[in-house]
Amino acid sequence: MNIENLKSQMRKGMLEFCVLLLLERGDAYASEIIARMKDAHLIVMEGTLYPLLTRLKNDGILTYRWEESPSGPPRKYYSLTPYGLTFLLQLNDAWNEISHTVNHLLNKPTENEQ
Amino acid sequence: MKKTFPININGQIFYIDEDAYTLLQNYLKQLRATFTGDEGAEIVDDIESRIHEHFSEKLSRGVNVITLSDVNSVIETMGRPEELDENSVDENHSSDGADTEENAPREGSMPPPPPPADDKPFISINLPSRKRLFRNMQNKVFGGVIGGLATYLGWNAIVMRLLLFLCVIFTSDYLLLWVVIYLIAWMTIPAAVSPRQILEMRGQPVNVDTVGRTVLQTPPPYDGHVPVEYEREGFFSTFFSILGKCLMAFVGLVSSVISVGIVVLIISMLVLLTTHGVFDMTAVIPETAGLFRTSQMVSAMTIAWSMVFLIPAIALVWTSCCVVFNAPSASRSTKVTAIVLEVLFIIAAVVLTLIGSASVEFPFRAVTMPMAAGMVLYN
Repeated sequence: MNIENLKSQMRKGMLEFCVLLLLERGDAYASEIIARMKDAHLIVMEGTLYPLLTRLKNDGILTYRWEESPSGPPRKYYSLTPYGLTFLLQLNDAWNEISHTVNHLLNKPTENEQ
Repeated sequence: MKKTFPININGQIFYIDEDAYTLLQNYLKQLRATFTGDEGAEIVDDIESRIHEHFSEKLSRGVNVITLSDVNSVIETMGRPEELDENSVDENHSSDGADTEENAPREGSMPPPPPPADDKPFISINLPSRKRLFRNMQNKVFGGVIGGLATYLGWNAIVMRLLLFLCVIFTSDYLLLWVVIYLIAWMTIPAAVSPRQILEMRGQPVNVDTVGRTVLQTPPPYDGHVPVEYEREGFFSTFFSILGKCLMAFVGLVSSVISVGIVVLIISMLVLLTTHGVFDMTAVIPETAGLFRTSQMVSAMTIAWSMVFLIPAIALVWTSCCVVFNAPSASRSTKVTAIVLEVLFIIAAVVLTLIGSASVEFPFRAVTMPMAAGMVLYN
């Protein structure tokens, strides 16, 4: 088990959640999602996003529509479906649990020391 | 000074250097090999349109031509296929534990995958690689059957060819049988064309990492491939390759002569059928007169025998046309159908012949010998 693996697995587990969170704030096309993720300091290979979006779409969590762009070819705008929204809420609960656990464990040693 | 191509991505024209073009094409091929199916096609299309955005951004900064370093930087940003592992693992086999357990029995009742040996756990959750028999297109004389078999068994292809060559020489009475076996193997064993197939042929685990490596290391399989092993193994492989080509030319010549003959025979038979009502084989070969009880049976037998020869003849002509014009060869189902039909016609012909000449020794023993040899193979 090496550290880079673990780190990348943690990031991967988070990626879907982050993408859904981003889309909850408003519909976006792939490049926009990438830009927003960069703003949020979430660094990923751009290529990882596309299979993920396609999979989420095929699972009925996302849907997309074509929209003309001011420059260049039309863009695929992704948005959350109602099912996607409940999915996101569940993920959110799971995240709260995990973060609660981790924070709890992170804080424990200091409590013991005191 | 470099050669430059205009390429069309998403309806926009870009000028791209030759080397950059090759790299980009390799990259896209590699992605297509990684992401398969409809879903994969969609993914690659999306990635392609993202590449388009990167390029048009470059052009808007006043660059005229896409260079190798541009393509490299785009690949770095997008990620090499082996770095997009999460998705392809997911696509092929699922990325999380629960799914892996679901998939495991389907993959051949494997227990949940063992801890990965290399440093990419996500990739290593990949399928247990089974070695499969393919025709080795990178090491071939005719169709790569022996090369593929050697790769499958882990032998040296040259040694295998030498052994088989000696085998055929010592049993040269059954030369036709060998040829038929080879042709059938050629028709039924698929060629290892895609990186995935090449890896399966070698028995290497098919994962994004190895697929990527195969594509980056070997030239794209359907571009003019220089058979690597020929260069390395010198005399024998050259000898076999030349011998192969000579034999190929000879077989082609003979088969075309035969097939022309058969076509003429068929046409004349049809003419006879239409003019005389029922075609009588005794009209062509008088020795067979008196052998058969009814003329219907004679014509049925004649048709069956003609089909027995006609099907391989058509197959040969078709295959040589495919080779000459570089056309895609017949589909697997077509080949299987042809083989099944051939077997049926052989059986029909033999049965009709036996019934027809029940009391008299059949005079065509010489002709039926090769077909009998064929029968042994089919059974």
